[in-house]
Amino acid sequence: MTALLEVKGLKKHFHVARQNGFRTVRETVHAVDGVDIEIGVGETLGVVGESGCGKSTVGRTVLRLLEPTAGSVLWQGTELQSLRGEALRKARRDIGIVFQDPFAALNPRMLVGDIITEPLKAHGMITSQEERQQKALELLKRVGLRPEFATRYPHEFSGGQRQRIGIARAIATNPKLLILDEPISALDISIRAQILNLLEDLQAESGISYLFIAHDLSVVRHICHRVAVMYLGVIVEQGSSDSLFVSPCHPYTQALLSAVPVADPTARKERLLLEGDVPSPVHIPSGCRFRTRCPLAQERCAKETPLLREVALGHWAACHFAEADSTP
Amino acid sequence: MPLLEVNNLQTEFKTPAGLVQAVRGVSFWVDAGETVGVVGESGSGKSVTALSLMGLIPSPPGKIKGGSVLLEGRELLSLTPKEMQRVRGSQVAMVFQDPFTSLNPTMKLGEQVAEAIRLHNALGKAGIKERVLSLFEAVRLPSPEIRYHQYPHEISGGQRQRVMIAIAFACNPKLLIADEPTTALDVTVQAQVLALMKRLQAEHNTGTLLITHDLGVVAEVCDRVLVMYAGQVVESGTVTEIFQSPKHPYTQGLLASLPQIHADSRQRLVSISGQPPDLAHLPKGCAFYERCPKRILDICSLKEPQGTAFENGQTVRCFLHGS
Ligand SMILES: Nc1ncnc2c1ncn2[C@@H]1O[C@H](COP(=O)(O)OP(=O)(O)OP(=O)(O)O)[C@@H](O)[C@H]1O
Ligand SMILES: Nc1ncnc2c1ncn2[C@@H]1O[C@H](COP(=O)(O)OP(=O)(O)OP(=O)(O)O)[C@@H](O)[C@H]1O
Ligand SMILES: [Mg+2]
Ligand SMILES: [Mg+2]
Repeated sequence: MTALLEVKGLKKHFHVARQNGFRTVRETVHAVDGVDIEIGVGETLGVVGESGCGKSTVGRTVLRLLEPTAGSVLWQGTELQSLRGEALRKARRDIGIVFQDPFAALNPRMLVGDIITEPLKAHGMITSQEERQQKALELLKRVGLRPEFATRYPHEFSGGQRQRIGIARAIATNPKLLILDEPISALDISIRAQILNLLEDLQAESGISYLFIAHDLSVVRHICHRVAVMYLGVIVEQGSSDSLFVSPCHPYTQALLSAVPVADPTARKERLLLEGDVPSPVHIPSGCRFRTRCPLAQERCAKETPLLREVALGHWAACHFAEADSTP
Repeated sequence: MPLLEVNNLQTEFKTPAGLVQAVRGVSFWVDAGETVGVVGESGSGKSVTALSLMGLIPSPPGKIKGGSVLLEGRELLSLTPKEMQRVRGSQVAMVFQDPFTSLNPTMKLGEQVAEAIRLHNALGKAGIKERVLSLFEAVRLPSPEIRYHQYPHEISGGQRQRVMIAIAFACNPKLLIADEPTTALDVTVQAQVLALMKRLQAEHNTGTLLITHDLGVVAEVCDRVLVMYAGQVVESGTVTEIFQSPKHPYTQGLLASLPQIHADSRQRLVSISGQPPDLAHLPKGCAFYERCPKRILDICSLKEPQGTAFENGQTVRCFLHGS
């Protein structure tokens, strides 16, 4: 079976100029530095990691909002870059995105009904004004909003409602894959649950796949089938949600999970605190990228780059010392 | 005597849409050395409560309409602006949510901390610099000497937050008010910052009022919790009481809507539907009535619940539990 989306060896480097005294220094930001991921039909893949590790850049490159520096993106088995004409337009229709900020993402001067049907118009999927109105009502209903909202403006809505409007627009063309870049971090706790439930309902109804980018690990645990953990532009661990959260193998994943505050006062614990900050993506450490903060680091880690190896069935980790049954 | 005692605090704002009653009779206390968490929906009055305590409500449009704020028995609401300024930074310090807007972008980091020390301390120039560097070390800012001469945009978000904490602790405050101090940070940096705040707090026996929407953070670091809804404290108690036997339907809804990282199954989350009321046009009865799954028809929409205190000290404003 071919995966819906397959990303191989994806790299995205940014070239930036920095002023150092009177000199201009050119530097390369290794935002994404060789990432492989796969998403099946009806599957949710979570991408987690610290701020700046390259999560959004992966999402944007998959969508071709950014040109990759290297690597390939296969959409239903075909190189996305080789698609032309109708095939390319179809692929564009099939991949949608929902952005983090529900306040910035909607055009304030457009009516909600027009906003959510805009992609249909752009792809020539509606012909008449009546059809557009009809579609708008259908979409609002699917995301649990009232039909009369179609004739209002975005500023009249709360954060949760705006995020629903964003989702309605993203699913208008019936995409097969939705990229969700921190879709709920700007929302109130009580509204987050509504949106997560909505995403799960849509998946159950239509078999849509999600690439779910987030740094809230309990949300990822809740909604994702598989999870990829990123650190400084690479994936350091990947596996099913159950296996990865129950027995994380990479010291970074272990630290990340240990750092999550748990909403249970009886479960207070000693944390595995990471020292120091994430190194700059301009000067990547040699060997293992995580070694500058790793409690297990040894000489070998500076010399040899650890590759992803399968530590348990379908569970991969990039660490010289990762063991399948190591517990945090 | 508690370190801080707040009684029936009321703050309102004059707006074109009407009089916004942002804080409607809030009472609580903070003891020395303890951490009291404040949670609640966006717009429920958490920040306005904090700003009222600090004497930082913009006026107009804002106005503290009534109540009292006692710091070690001394009434803060009747102080002159000048006296209040002396209290801020010498006895009470605040860490704001957004470290970028609250640091001065054109001033070196070291000098910003030095200024905070100079305000309340008669140290010489060299003494002040030494104190700044030791604070930078205390907040685990890497290479303090270099940071001293850097500007806010030259360091990361987590590092800026640590500079803010250094400034807050520059005067060894008795009370620290932290408004979402870790919201902009990711989990690993958040854990560092929380550990740091806890350590400094233990060293100086500081009382802390911690505003956050992260219930995980609350469970982790708070001793007691206030749950706010529409400008009121609707429930309060020890962290264990609130998490294990929440009494108010809003608190119950809040806890049920959290995904659990240790849960085995992917259970459906419970969500609270609807939105909080308009604070300029409050309903007659309970402010949570519209969204409450347990409302009692003839009572809750007609009268406001006044609040009940249980024997263990837990309080709740709900007709399901007394008046
Ligand atoms: N257009 C750009 N030019 C230069 N550098 C960039 C650009 N876009 C992103 N970067 C850098 O690439 C790295 C990865 O950024 P990215 O936005 O993908 O991170 P992220 O994992 O999504 O972080 P966050 O959790 O904060 O959203 C960062 O170091 C960022 O500064
Ligand atoms: N300067 C102001 N003028 C008018 N209304 C204000 C002003 N500041 C706050 N308010 C109103 O007071 C209410 C309480 O706001 P507050 O900032 O305390 O909420 P909060 O609980 O801190 O929310 P959040 O979690 O989003 O930070 C809101 O309805 C807000 O609109
Ligand atoms: Mg991002
Ligand atoms: Mg606030």
